[in-house]
Parts: sequence; C-alpha cells; structure tokens
Amino acid sequence: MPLIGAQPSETGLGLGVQRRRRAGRIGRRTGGQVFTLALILPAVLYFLIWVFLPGGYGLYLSMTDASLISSPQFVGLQNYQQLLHSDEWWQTLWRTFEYAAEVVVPTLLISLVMARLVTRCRRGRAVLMTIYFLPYVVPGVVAALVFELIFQRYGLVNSALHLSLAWLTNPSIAMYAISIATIWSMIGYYVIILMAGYQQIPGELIEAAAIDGARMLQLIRYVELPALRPTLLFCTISSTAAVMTNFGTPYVMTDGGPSNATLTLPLLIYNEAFKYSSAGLGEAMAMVLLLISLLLALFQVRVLFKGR
Amino acid sequence: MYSRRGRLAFRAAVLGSALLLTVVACGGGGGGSGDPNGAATLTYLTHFNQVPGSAIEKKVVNAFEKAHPKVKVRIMALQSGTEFTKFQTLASAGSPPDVYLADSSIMSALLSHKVLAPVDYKAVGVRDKNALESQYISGVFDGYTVDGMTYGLPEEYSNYGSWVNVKAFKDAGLDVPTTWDQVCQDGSKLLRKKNGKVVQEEVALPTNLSVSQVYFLDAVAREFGSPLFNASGTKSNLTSKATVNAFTMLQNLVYKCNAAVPSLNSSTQGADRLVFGSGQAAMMFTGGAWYLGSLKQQYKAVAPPISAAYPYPTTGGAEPASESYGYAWVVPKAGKNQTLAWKLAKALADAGNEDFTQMGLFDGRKSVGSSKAATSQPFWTSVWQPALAHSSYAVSLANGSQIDDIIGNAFDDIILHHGNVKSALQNADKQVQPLLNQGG
Repeated sequence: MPLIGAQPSETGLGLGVQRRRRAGRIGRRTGGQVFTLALILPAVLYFLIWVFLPGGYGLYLSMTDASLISSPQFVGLQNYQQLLHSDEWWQTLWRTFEYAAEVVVPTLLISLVMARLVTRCRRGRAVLMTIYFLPYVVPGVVAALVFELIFQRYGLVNSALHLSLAWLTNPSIAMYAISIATIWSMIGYYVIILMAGYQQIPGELIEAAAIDGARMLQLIRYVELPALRPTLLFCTISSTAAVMTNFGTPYVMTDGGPSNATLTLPLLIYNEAFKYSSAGLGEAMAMVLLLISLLLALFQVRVLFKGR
Repeated sequence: MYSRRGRLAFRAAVLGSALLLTVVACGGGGGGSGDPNGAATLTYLTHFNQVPGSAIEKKVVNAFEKAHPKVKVRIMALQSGTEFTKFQTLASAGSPPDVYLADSSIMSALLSHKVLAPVDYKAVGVRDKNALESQYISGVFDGYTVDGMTYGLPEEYSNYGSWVNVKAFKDAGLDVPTTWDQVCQDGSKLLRKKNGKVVQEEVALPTNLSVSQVYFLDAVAREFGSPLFNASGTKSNLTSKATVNAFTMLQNLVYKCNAAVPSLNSSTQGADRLVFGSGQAAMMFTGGAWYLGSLKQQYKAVAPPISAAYPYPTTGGAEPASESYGYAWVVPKAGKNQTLAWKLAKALADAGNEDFTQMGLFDGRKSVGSSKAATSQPFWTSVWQPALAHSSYAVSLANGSQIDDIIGNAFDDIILHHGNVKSALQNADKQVQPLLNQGG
C-alpha cells in the first residue's frame, strides 16, 4: 500500500512510468508554447513586414540623399543637421503643436461632457451614441471636402453666423477652420471611448460620494476623473498622435496654404518626399516626428499617472 | 493531443506566413515586362483620365496593340498634377512606367537625376534629331533638351493669356483693357455686390497652384523689366525693381483699384479658373488655348462669344509677355522595352491633330498649327499662335517645385494678407537662394 505523500519512486512505480509522465508534462508544455507561438506568429509577421521593415528602411533612407527617382547615396546625419538649421522645419513643428493643442484639448473636453450626459441618459442612449459616432465613420477626405465648402467665403458658416470671413484664404484664421473640421471628425470616437470609461466607474463610489454630500464638481474632480485616468490617458495619447500625423484634412482643405499657414509636419514631409524629390530629408522629418510622438506619449503617461 | 494540435497550428501559421511573404514579395510592380518570344507588357502614365483625352489615347493604344499583337499596353491614367508622385513611387519600387507624360516643369528634376533615356530616333521613325525637330515650331524641344540630347516627344506646347468676359466689360460700358493701368481704372466699375456679397470682380488672380502662379508672375515681371530668374537659373531677380513693381501693381489691383477680391477664390487648386468659369470674374490669366475646351464643356454660360482670349495687358505700351510650358512623352532609362516604349510614345504623340481639335491642345507641330482645323479654331491665329512663336519655356530649375511654392506663398501673402511687397520678396529670395541652380 503506498504511503500518503510518498514519492512515486518510493511507492514502487517504475522509472519508465515516471519518465513517460514527465515527458507528457514537457510535451504538453512544449505543445502549448508551440500553439501560443503559432497564434502570435501571423501578428508578429504582420508588424514585421508592414511596420518594422518599412520603419527600418525609413531610418536608412533618412541617412541618404534619396529622391525616389534615383539610387540613394549614404550621407550620414546630414539631413538631420539640415533640419536643425531649417526655419521652415521649426515653424512647421511649432504650427503642428498649435494644431494638436487646438484640436486635442477641445475634443477631449467636449467628448467628456457629452459622454457624461449620454451616460446619464436613461432613454435614447443608443440613438445619441449613433448620432455622435456618425462623424467618425464619415471618411476623412469626404468630411474635409464638405468642410471646405462650408468654410467658403459665402459658405454655410458665414451665412449662418452673418460673417464675411475668408476662412480658408486668410492666413490668420485658416488653421482654426481646419481644427474645427478635425474636432468634428474625432469627437464621436472619443465620446464612445469615454462612455465606456464612465461605465467602468463603480456605482457604489458615486453613491457614497453623493451620500457624503459631494456636489457635482466635487464628484467629477474627486471621483470621476481619477477613475477615468486610464481612459483619459488612452484618449490623450491616441488623439495627440492622430492629430500630429493627420495628413488628409489639411491637405484637402488648404494643401498647407495660404502662405504655409496650415502647413503641418505630415504635409511638409509629403512635400519634401514627393513634390521636392527629397525623400531622404522627408524621412528624417518623419523619424523626428515619430520620436516627438513617443516623447509626448511618455510625457502624457507621466502627467496622468503622477504620484502613482 | 495538445502538442499535435500545436504542431498543426504551427504548420498552418508557417504556411500562411510564407504565403503572406510571397504575396508581399511578388505583389504590385507597375513596370512593363518582356520575354524572349517578343511578348511584352508596356505601362504608360498619363494625366488624361477623362474624355475626350482618355478616349483619344485608348484609340491609339488599341491600334498599337493591333499592330504589335504580342504587346499589351497598360494605361495608368491619373488626375493631372498627381502623376509625378505616382512616377516616383513606381520608380522607387524599381518598376517605373515604360512611357510617362512628363510636365516640362519637372523635366529639370528628372534630367538632373539622369533617369530618362534619350529619344531613340530609329524607333520614332526619323533619321536624326534635326529631322525630328524640323517637324515642330522653333523652341518646342528646348524644355526637353540637355547638352544637345533630346529626351521627350512633345504632347503639348502651351502658354497663358488673358481670358476675358467681353460681355461683362460691354455691360459696364468698357473696352477690354490692354494695359495694367486700364485694368486698375476699370476695377471699381466692374465690382458688383448683391446683399453685401461680391458677385463680380474684374480680375481673378491666381492662388493655390504655385506653378501656374509663377508662369503668370514671371510674364508680368518680364513686362516690368526683368524675369524672376536669369536664363541659367543661377540668379534670382526676386528683389529687383522690376519684380517689386510687378508685385506692387498686382497688390494694388486688390487693395487700391478694387479690381480683384482674391478671397472669392476657394482653396481649390486653380480656383481662379473656377471663379471665371462661374461668371464671378470678368478676366483671368491662367488659361491657354486648351481653356476653350473647358469653357465649352464645363462653363457654357461664359463660353465664346461671351468670352474671348487676349494677350496679357502690358505696361506702358510694351510687348505683352507670356511663358510657354508643355508636356512630353518620355521613356525612363530603367524600362525593359525601350525601343517598343519609344514606338508607343511616337504613336501617342502622333494623336496631335485629334488632341488639338477635341481639346485645344497644341503639340507644337507645324502641320497641326497650320492645319485647316487649327486656323478655324477661335483665337488660334489671332492670339495663341503668334504668342507661342515668340514664347520660351520658363527657366529650368532643378528645385523648381520648391521655388514655385516659395514664390506662390509670397504672392499669397501679398495679395491675400496685404503683406509688405519688399519684405515678402526679400524673405522669398532668402529661401530661394540655396535652391538655385549651381554653376554657370
């Protein structure tokens, strides 16, 4: 009779059985690993082919005099040095930050307010969600074309507001027109994301705060916003990245004009690469834009999770 | 069981990934191909993506395929202005089109990168360069020739002039102006408003399309005394007295003469043509002989006899200036079937008569320009033919696109934002200096 707690060898089971069991365990573990690997391999390959390889090639091109129409020659960091001394680059970089700020802050504020209102709606929530989400499913180019018409000198906006502004041909205000169009396109998506965030807040927390006499602003400040931090982090990072790399809206509405007033980094990169046959310089700009986006994301993570 | 399933899934994933890699590696590829039996596929890149241009080319291609039964021709018809981007992406992928309809303004970039093959005279059926060029009016090949070598077969040779809504001037009791001073004097008389909205301006100034802005501005600057650049493109005259005076005159049309309301232009490329076509402007400066076709097809309300073509107004009785530009069929060096490609280019270039009668596009050939069809075209013998005979291409600048954008931005600043003319031109000049052609 085997002793309780005794090891198999001590119980008189043969070494063969023991080995078979161990092999089975290892086989199951290996099989599981292979299965896992098999599942992630297509995704890894996808990213390798479509993200990392082009990214690596882009990094290489950024150190060449590539023109796209002839063989590139290695020039080291010359393109990056050129950027440092280019007024146009710094002006465009600053303009892109302005554009990002003009779009991200209002987009998140409006989305937050709308998400809160819709979450509290007892009836018609699905209808409101659909309405808010609709702009997001309108293709960006179509939205930009429509806004281009709306912002004409005698377009809908001026007619409705009894104004006579040359929205798209006045360098002082053209960027606002583009920002408004971008905000309109993005809000729906972030309302849905923030609504999902709101629904994650435990009802007990809200009730407890209400019982303790918290007013609405206190509820938002001390309960809702802290609970929404992870969602807000995602929204801030993704919206900033989306705006900083937005090519379609400024390209369609103004093509960077008038007088470069709406020329943002993606447009400048496009111009360098495809219009001016300076793909190497364009790639260097793209690399710096990537680095800036990553640094911004890191900064946002730090700010939103400060003290945690 | 687990491990067998794992192995199966692993194999499936590897197989799938291998397929994906194969698709990625073998997919795409725009260039033509050939085989030892003479079978080949030629691709050509054109901006004729609408009838009648696309129909004319399709007819040529069908005839070419019939004459060369083993050859297939693949047409890549893109919107005008986007074809250079497509050319670059195809070239960078190692498969440039076999034939490409290149804009004269980008020829300098193409030639400086040495990506084009010189004309194969035998393939295009002529003895030599002189035999080919003798078929065309003088100067047509200047835009496609470097160091005595010719790199293109002309498809279009055009210039700009004024298109004038004659009826608008008559209704205001005015004659069509022939000098810039007259244009200024007529401004207020032609400015019409309705419920506070401007419904008519005298002139639509060009915005948003820098290359056409520069063709216009260079011509006006020449009327005022000097072109924007010297002939070799190594020196800028942007801050010269002539250029400053020319830009000041154009700014005055907006802010002193009430002749132009540039904010009427939308942000669309070539918006001045749309404004004129819609009847909101009585005059515009970026249309050539080909604009007649646009008027007849798109803007019937202002088509001749309502409107007519004239040379540009002048300053103080000087000769009106204009600048020529064009398109030519070129063959990239990297193409696999260059002889066939030149034969196709020749066949496409030979459609000049039809291009002219159906679209108003003159290819520069003497036989086309003096044909009965041509002489019966409105304004051909009175305006376009004499202007083209004395016209020359814009200076060939290796960084032409970038320089055009800089000048276009300066002009936008001057006319849209009432910018200071001198400082706008000085700023543009500073940006242009490092981009000028090097050497003599």
